[in-house]
Amino acid sequence: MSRKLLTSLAAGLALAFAVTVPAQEAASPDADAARAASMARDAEDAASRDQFRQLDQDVQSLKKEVLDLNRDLFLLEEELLFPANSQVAFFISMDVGEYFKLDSVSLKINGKEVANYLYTDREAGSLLRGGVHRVHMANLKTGDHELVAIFTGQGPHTRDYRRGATLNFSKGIGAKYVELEITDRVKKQQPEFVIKEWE
Amino acid sequence: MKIRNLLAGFVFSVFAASSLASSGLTGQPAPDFALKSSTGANLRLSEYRGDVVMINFWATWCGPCRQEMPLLDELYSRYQRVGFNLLGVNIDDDSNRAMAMINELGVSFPVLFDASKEVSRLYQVDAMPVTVIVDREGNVRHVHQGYKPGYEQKYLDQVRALLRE
Amino acid sequence: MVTRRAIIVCCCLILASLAPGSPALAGKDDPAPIVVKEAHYGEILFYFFQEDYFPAIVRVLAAQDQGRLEEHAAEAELLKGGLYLSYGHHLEAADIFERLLADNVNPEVRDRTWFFLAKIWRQRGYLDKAQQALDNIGDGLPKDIRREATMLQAQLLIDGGKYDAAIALLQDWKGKTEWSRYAQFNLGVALVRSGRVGEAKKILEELGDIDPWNDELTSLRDKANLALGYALLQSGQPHAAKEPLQRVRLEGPFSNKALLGVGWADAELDRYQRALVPWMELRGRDLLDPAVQESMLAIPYALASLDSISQAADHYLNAVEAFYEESSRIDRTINHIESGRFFDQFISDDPLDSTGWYWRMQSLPEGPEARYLFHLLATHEFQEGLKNYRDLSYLWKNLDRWQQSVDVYANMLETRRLAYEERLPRVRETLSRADLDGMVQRKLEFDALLNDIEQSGDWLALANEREFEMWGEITGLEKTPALSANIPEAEEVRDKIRLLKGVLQWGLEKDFGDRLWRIRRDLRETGEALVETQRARRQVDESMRNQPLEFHAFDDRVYGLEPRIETMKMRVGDAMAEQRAFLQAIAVGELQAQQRRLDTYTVQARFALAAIYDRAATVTEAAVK
Repeated sequence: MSRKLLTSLAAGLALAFAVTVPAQEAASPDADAARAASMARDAEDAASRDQFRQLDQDVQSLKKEVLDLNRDLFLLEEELLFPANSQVAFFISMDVGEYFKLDSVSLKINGKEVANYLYTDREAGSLLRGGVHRVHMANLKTGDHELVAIFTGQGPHTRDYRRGATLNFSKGIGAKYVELEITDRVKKQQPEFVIKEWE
Repeated sequence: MKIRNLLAGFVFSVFAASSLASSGLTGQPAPDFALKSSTGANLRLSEYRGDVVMINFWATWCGPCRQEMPLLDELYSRYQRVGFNLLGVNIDDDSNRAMAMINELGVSFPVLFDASKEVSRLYQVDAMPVTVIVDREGNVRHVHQGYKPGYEQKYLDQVRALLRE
Repeated sequence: MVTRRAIIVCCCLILASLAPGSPALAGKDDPAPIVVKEAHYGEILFYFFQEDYFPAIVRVLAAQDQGRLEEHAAEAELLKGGLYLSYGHHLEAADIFERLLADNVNPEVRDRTWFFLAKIWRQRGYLDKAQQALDNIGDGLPKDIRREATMLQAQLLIDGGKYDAAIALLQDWKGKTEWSRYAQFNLGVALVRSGRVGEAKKILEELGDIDPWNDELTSLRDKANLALGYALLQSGQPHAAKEPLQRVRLEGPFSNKALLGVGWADAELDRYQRALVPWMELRGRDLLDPAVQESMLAIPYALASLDSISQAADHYLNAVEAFYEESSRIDRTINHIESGRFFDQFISDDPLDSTGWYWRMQSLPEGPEARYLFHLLATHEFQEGLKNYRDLSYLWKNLDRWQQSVDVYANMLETRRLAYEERLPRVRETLSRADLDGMVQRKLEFDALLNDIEQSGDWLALANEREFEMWGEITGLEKTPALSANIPEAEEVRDKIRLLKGVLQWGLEKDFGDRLWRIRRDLRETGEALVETQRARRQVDESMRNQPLEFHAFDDRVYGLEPRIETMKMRVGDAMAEQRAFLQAIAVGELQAQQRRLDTYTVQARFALAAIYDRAATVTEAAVK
């Protein structure tokens, strides 16, 4: 996580600097008008530059704060999720607008079934309220792997519902998290997996 | 040499397994599981923590099971409201047959389907029926192999003792 | 003929009849097993069966006073009655029995008790009370007891001088049993005494002829024959008198009298030579026996009648000497008795030291005095007096022991009071520190809180410290303003936070049920412990309130006892002295009576001698002339 942020920070900074440079090179053919225009343009530019600088500073401090946050989160994470370096943790979460009763989730990694969890009413309720279930921890070698995840449940009209998703992911040296979120954000009344990965 | 060792190992494991079947579980935490029930809901053993749970493994082709189940149903209806739960685990390949028998006998306790026999393997069930009694803490306290008339008295006494804990 | 065993059996039967579930009373005199429900009652029975009546009574009274015999109240009362009887408190016993023996008691038991009472009354001389008791008997008595009752009835009639009724009763009496024999004898004697010798003869003759199957009946036969013989002698039928007298056993207790009588029969018939035979036999026997004493005079009388004057004189002289020696011996005995040592010897010789109406001396004490009192002891008066003396001696020792105990108790009490006063402030302090009521209140509040938590499914409420901390951290982080920015980094972090929070939540929700029941269980146990503690506290409070009062009460009781014991002891001592004086008086009286008899005989002998000398002198004079 930290590496990615650093690279984007660097990119952002470069962009910031890049913006200010070209403004000084522009010259106009009509001297007075041009000058006036250029002076006006200069003024405008200066204003927008100031604004931008302000904004940028804000963003910077924000990012710093988020950085700090990350550090705190990292510590928490170790305590709550504590995966070993070689492991990949798979999580199930839910975010549905319409009623959906989750029945079961099954996971296959590289063709082999590694999890088949039946959710009780209580557990399904917990997911609806924001709980997140760590459904499986896999010891995987570094490299590429394939995940096939299927969930079943019942929609609002007690229709049996079944959906799946496939994820090709690569395992690095450190721990990895995969969150399989069952959500109907994208298509109303049609929940499906939205997969997020972290490292 | 190798074969003999293999054989010895096999024999040992057979005997070990059968002797473990009854004694191995007692005193240990009951292995957790979740199975679909006859009502369609999924039921998980650990959600019954705090209650006394009796797990009864049965099959439609088992004669003594037929005798035993109505008696278990009585036990269930009597003590359910004071913290007793009964989970019937059916291991038939075809759950319809099980449903038919349930309706025929008129049992009211939840019946779970373990067609893949995963849970019965977990509980080392190798004969029918097997009745496991789990206490409020989630530990296995008694295991009964088979059924003979009179066992129900033992169940009664054991369940009542555990309910008092 | 009331035996010790009979009274025990009677009481046992009374008890057995009242014990629930006891077997039906058999006709036999076997005590039925007794079902005891209380330890106190069992203790009383223990003493009773040992024939230790005094301690048994004391325990009954104590137990009743403390209300400890609820289960066995009626039986205890009955037992008390029996104990009083055994102890000799017959008036009290009768009261109790009359109160208790109402209609709801087994009729056989009731009748037996009345019969028993009747016997006691009679032996103590309360004849009309005895008759009343007999009249109360229904038909509950078994056969053998009924026979005895009939005999008792006959006896009462005889005692009351109603001979005709007695005769009628005896004639109606079917079956010749031992009891009827006794009744017969008594009747015969009574008839003789009242001069109806002819009727007496018939009765006694029949008795005199029976074939006895035990010692008692043999004795009775002897008595009957003796009585008949003497009756006939007295009514001037010496010839007829001989036969029954000769039937009396030579080696028995009545042989002396019989021998004497036989001699007199012959003497009446002027067959002096014949008369000498039994009298000579008698002469060699124990001089203590009045029959023997009489024989010493009868022989010279016969000799004189046979004109063996010098021999007669010799015999008279011997008799006078013998009588004189005997009288001296009696004097010595009287002295010994009057010194008081004799009776104490009596008492101290008794190894059992038990109390009870049916105590009888198993063996005579050593010493020459014993022979004199052998006859005396057979008398009722003496027996009763002696028994009372023994009882008083026991009481005295008992009081003495108590006096010593009172000292010990006073000591115990003081020690205990000191200990209590030392511990009290500490206990008070501990109690005041523990705010039990506050605890109970908190427990109830906690119960309510738990219910709320369960109702609302508030899984966060049951989180442990660390979990709660983490939750706080995460929710705190959630609110960071930076996070709401619309930049990918922020979104990523937001997602991450949601993940973490969700995982924590899942765990908390999953554990909620388990935690809930555990806390409830612990709370329940706490509740139980609180109840227990409250109870203990209440007990301590009460004890604290009562203890000073108890000490005070004990003080009064213990210290109040001392003078009572002392007073009682003095009274018992006085009573003992009185009793001893009474016994002494009786004994001395008896001995003096014997002396008087000897004196009388001596006088007779002297007279006879004098007459002989006179005659001899006259004869000599005449011869000389």
